[in-house]
Amino acid sequence: MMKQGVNNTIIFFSFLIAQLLVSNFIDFGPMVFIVLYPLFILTLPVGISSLSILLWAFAIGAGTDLLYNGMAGINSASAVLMAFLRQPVQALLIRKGELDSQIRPGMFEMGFGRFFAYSALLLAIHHLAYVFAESLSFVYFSGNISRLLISYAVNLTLLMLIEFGIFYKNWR
Amino acid sequence: MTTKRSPRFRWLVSLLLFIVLETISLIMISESSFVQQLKINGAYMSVRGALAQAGSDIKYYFNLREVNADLSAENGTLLAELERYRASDICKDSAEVKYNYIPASIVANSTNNKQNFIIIDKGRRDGVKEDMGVVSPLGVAGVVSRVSEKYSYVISLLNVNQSISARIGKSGAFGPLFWDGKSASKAILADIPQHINISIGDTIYTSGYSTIFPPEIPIGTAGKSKIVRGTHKEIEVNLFQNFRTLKYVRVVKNRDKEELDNLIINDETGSK
Repeated sequence: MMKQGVNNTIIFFSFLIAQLLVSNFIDFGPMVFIVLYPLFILTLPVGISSLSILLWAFAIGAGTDLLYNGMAGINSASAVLMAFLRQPVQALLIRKGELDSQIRPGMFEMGFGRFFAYSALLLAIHHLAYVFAESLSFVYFSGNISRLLISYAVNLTLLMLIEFGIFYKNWR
Repeated sequence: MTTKRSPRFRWLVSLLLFIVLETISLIMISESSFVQQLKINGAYMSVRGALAQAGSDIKYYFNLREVNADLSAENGTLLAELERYRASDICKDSAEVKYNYIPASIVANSTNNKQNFIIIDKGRRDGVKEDMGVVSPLGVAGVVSRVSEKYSYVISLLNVNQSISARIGKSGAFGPLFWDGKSASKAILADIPQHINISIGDTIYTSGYSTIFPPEIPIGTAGKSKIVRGTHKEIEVNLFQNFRTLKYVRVVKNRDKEELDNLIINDETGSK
C-alpha cells in the first residue's frame, strides 16, 4: 500500500513536469492544445478508491492550471469530470474481478482494443469538458469544434504512443 | 479501509467530493482575476520562476533574429517620429508629453489557448497600474489585469475576452478589434458600417478613443472582409506583431487617464 502511494507520487510529478514542459515549449497555435495528464488519471491502479482518484485528478489538473499561465480552473474541471466517470467506463469494459486490484489498467493488461476504447471514451469526455469550461457556454461550440477535433486526434495519438513506448512492457 | 461501508454510501461520498472539486474549479474560472493576483505574488513566482525564466530565455535565444528585426523596425519608426517632432515646434515642453512608457520584458507568454496571458517583469513599484495598455514593438500586446509588487499579469490581445478600439487608416471608420481564437496572427475588426470601402492591405491603427492606448499605433493590415447580419462589415486583420517571438514590451502610462475616467464617471452619475 505504502509502496503504491510512493509510486503514484513519482508518476504524478513526472506527468506534471512533462505537462508543464509541453505547455510551455510546444506551440502549434490556438487550434491545438496538448494534454498529457489524462494518461495519469486513466492508469491509476484499479483498486484505488474513487475518492483518491478524484483527489489525484484534481491535484494534477490544478497543478497544471496554477503553474501554467493559462486560464485557471479549466484543466482541473475537466480532469475531475474524467476521474469521476472513470469507474463507470471501466465497468463497461472490464468484467468484475478480471484485473487484480493492485494492477494498473494499461495497454498490456487490457489489450490494445479495450485500452483504446477506454482512453478514447474518457479523453472525449475530458476534451468536451475542457472546451465548454473554456468558454463557459455552448454559444461558441461551432467555433470550437475544429479545435476540439484536432486536439482530440493529436492527444489520443500521443497518449497511445506514450503508453506503448514507455509503459507497455516496462511497467508491471 | 478499516470500516466497511455500503457501496451506495461510498458512491454518495465520491459524488459529494466530485461536486465540491468541480465547484472549486468553476470558482477558479469565474474568479480568474483573484487567481491571477495569486499567480504573480511572491511565493508563486519564485516557485514558477525557474521554469518560466529558463523557458522564455531559451525561446528568446532561438528567436533573436526576429526579435532584433522587430526592435530595429520600431527604432526606425521612432527615429522618423523624432525627426518630425524636431522639424515642427509642437512639442517644445517635454514635460507636456501625454503618454509615458515603462519598458518591460516578458516572463511568460502563450499563444495556444483561447485565453492567453502574458506576465511581465514590471509591477507596482515601477509604476504599473491595473488597466494600463501594453504595446509591443509592432503593435498592441494587451491590457494589464493584475499587478503585484514586481510583476504584472497582462490579458493578451490573443484572448477571446479582450477587445480594443481600432480604426481604418484611410477612411477613419472605427470599431472593436478582437481575437476569434483561430490563428495567432489574425484578429477581427468588427462593426464597420457597410458603406465604408476597404481595400486589402489598408493599415489598421489604434483609435485612441479609449484612455488605454495612444492613437496611431499601427496594428496590422486589412484582409478579407464580409458582411455580418446584413448590417456591418467584419474585417480580418493580419497582425504585424508575431506574438510567439514577443520579448520586449512597453506599458503605456496615460497622464490624463484618471482625469478622463473621473469626468466620465461624474457625468454618468450627474445626469440621472
